[in-house]
Amino acid sequence: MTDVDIAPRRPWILGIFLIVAGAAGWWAAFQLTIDKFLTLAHPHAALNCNLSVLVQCGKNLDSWQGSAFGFPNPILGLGGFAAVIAVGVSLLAGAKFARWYWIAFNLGIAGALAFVIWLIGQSIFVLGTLCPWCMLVWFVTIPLFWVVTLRNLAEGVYGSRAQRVGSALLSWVILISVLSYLVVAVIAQLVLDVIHRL
Amino acid sequence: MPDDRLTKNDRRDAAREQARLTREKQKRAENLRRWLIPTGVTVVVVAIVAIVVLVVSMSAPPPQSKAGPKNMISDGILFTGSGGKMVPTTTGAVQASSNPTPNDQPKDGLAHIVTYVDFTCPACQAFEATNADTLQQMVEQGTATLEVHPIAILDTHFTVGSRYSSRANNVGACVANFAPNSFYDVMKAMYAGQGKEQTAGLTNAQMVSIVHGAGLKNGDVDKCISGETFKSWVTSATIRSGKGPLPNTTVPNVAHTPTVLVNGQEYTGSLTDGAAFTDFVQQVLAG
Repeated sequence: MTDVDIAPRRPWILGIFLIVAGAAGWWAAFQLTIDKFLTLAHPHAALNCNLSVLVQCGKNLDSWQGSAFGFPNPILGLGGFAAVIAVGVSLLAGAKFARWYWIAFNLGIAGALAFVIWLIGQSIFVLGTLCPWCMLVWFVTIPLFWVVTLRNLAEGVYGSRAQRVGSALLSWVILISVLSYLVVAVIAQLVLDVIHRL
Repeated sequence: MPDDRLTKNDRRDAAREQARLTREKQKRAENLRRWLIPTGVTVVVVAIVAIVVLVVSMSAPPPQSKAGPKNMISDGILFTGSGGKMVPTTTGAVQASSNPTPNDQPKDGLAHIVTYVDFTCPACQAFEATNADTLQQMVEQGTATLEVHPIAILDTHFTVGSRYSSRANNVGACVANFAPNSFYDVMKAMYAGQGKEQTAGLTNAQMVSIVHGAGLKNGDVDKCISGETFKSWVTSATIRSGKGPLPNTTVPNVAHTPTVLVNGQEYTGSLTDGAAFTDFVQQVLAG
């Protein structure tokens, strides 16, 4: 902040966004974890997320991609999204974080996005499914990445030259997220013909 | 408080405070402006996308562009028992831009078994390996009818562009159309010679030789397989079963293959346990 005499306002929009997005992602991970338990206990259980050949999570949960690191992916979500919520609540409480903290948070979310991009590819190209709870995770991880990354740029976490770029782009974050969704939607439509199969 | 009662310091503080408030107000206005244009653009983009989706989905669903196979008026081929034999029911075809006509399932004490299968699906292969002969016996003995719906849901499980699932289920349609008496044998042979997932599957020529191996040598069938004659029907029948509603059952749509219905009730037991399946059939018949 250059205007030293203006007290920096508490970033309540950012805080609320992190809490809402983190809670939605956590809920999706929780549902997937429960469904995974169900399929383990009853291999032929009718999961309420299995709506059709196209829209289902059973295939995703049963696939090896669903346990990419040797354990079910949603367990990662249960931990990771709780951290997102915690950061959001801390911001609302007026917490100030060191530069390294923001960088670590950004790295974690970038990792989550990279994993989500891989999962989107596997789901659309290999499994041929759209899994509802998985899509909720995609839906929140994409803007989480853009918001946190652009916020860090705009606040000068990555230096002053990046700061100018960041503050110019930050106000476009909703559009950037929408365009990211659009890329996924267009790929899904081209590969799976979603519109004609729903 | 009148101005002249203020000290110099007080006045300076007041002026500073005024300036601070003004700056804050300006900053807030500037912030609002910074977010106004992007938000507006976003709303416009979302609106355009919504309109495009709406137009595309209304121009849908793609109608079946050519007639389907004969003897599959319900999108499936129906077998009944007659004189100790398993006999396919002869019907017309689902015409272009038309819908299938479901078979009636009378409450006649028979087990009316309907299967939705993909010839390229390993789970269907497992189910058929366990139960195909039992099913045939039940139909031959006149205790059951069997209606097989081949659908192609697994193109994405094979090399992109190979379309093995679509082509393999076209084989079922070709045989139903030209040689319905050979359908069951060809289906079993297609499962036995099934291509592996994550490969290109089988070529049309390979499938023709599987059909020959099953004892069906028919030039029309061979041409139908290599020309993928019932391509549009396979696509339409697959979409229809995936969307639902399905006839003669409360199961809304086909969410996986094999979907096995006995008098409308879905079999959810083990695909490799023959006894579990026959128990289920008895249970449904007992009501």
